Amino acid sequence: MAWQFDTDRPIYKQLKERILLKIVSGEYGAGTQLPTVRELAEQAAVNPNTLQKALTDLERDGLVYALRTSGRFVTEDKALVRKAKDTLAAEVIDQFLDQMEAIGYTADEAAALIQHTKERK
Amino acid sequence: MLGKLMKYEFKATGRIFVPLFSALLIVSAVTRLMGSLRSTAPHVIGVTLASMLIAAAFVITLILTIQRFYKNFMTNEGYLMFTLPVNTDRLIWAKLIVATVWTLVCGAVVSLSIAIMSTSDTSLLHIFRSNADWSMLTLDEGLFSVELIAIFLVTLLDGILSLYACMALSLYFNKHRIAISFAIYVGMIILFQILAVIAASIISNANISINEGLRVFIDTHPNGTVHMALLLALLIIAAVGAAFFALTRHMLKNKLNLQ
Amino acid sequence: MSILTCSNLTKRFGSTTALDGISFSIEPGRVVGLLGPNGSGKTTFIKLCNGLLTPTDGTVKIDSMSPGVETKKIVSYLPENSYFNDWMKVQDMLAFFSDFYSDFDAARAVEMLRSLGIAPSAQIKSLSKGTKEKVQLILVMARKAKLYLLDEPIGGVDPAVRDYILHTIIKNYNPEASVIISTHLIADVEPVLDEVIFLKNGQIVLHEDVDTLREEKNMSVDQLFREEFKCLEN
Repeated sequence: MAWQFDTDRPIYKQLKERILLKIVSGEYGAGTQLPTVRELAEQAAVNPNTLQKALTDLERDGLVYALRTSGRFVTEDKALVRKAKDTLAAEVIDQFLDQMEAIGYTADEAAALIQHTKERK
Repeated sequence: MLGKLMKYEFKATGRIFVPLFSALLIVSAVTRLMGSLRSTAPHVIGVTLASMLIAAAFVITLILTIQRFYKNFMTNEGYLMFTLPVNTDRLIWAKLIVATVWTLVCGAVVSLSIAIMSTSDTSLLHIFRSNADWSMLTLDEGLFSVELIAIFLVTLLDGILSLYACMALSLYFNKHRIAISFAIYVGMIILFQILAVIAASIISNANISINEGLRVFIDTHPNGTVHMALLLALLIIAAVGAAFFALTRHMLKNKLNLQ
Repeated sequence: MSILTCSNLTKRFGSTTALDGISFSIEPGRVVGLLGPNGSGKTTFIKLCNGLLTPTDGTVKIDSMSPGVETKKIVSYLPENSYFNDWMKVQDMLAFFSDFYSDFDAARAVEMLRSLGIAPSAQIKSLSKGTKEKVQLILVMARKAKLYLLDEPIGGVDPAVRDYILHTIIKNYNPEASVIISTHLIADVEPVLDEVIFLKNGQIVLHEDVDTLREEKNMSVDQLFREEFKCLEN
């Protein structure tokens, strides 16, 4: 099943985000080998060049490294992955708080609502 | 590449010709059998059927020759044929050679069929046995035969090429190409008639002063003169054919616009 | 070295100008979308690349050669119309392609046919329109060509086939070959494209990378196309 993308942002950025998500969530565990560019491109139903760009970005960020003959691997640096995870979480929270503010709740009110909802579960 | 093109051309046409010619030969053989058995009614039916098949053979040969060119080059199939990595020349030759072969086969089969039906039991063998002893032919007679056969063949090629050229010329128009091809063909026939009449009147009115040397040659080498005349005729017919071929090639290469 | 270069390429039919002096090049390993409304010159351009038409002016070169026998060996073309005759079976077409194209991978073609459930022994004329299109696509993609020219490959097919076609294009990707997809169904094809060329009235109005366009305009190529051409809808 092809991955769905927003139409108004570059695809390679969205690909980068998706792969990053799989890394921080542990779907692609630390040190494991990533599928080849061709396999991933087929899965996502995107142009392999675009995917390559996303992976190169992740390489630059240090989350992924390439071994010339064997392919690409997720970094073993767990601290780095943790940091990326936290950064991602912070972005999600920022977005959430912005949305809550649009609805009319302050950050504290939003926090309280979270607690309330959590207890109900 | 030419061989491959011809292979497919034979496959495409053989599906129709092989059953047709086989049917004709079988009907002829059966008819002859009916004749020998003196059963009148089936014999008459057989002859009628054979006659219809003979007519069909000629008509179908002509139609298929036209249709193969038109369908394969000037309809959607052209998208496949003209993107093949082969020269336009080869494409034309493949069709031309195969069409010529089938025309000759048609003639041979029809002749054979008539021979089968019209001879009595013993005379069929006589035909094969009494054929001229080939080793007794003189050089001249042999050469004449070869020249006449060559002229016959080249004329046949010309005939087919003229059909191709007329269809190719219709590429100047976008619609009603079949009707226009037909019109061009008729126009071409008329043109050739006019040219022939003009040529004949020029020759008969001109005071041909043959120089002495040529007159002596004609007188002392009557056979040689005929050979030269035949060769000249062959050259002219071949030139006409080459012109048709070049015209067809030019149109297919530069004026093709498949829809 | 570019795989395709055209320079001031012009094609006129009588008084109509189908292509008006276009110039651009395409590098190997690119998937290019050739977009434009009907009559913008897309099909004319593709036919010029194939040698099915000759230019009125300017040049087009495939791998530095003018269209001819040598370029036809490395160009694989999928026309909009079906080009099958009515007497062949699917396997006959496979044999035909094997005979004339040395880069044809028959094993691959058979495998693709099998994955789509098409019997090689089937008479082509008995196949449905959609199945015929699939067979034509398989024949084209089973060649290891340097340039693939696909003219409206996904128009008129159901979504599942559309996905299969795009999947095949991705799977077939080769850094030494390029694909030109001429279509007006941009949204479906966009994720697969590297760059797009907009044609309007025989001229190029845009030639850009997909992601660069999205970055700059904050909209998809599909949306950009609709904006660019909406006045023509009248």
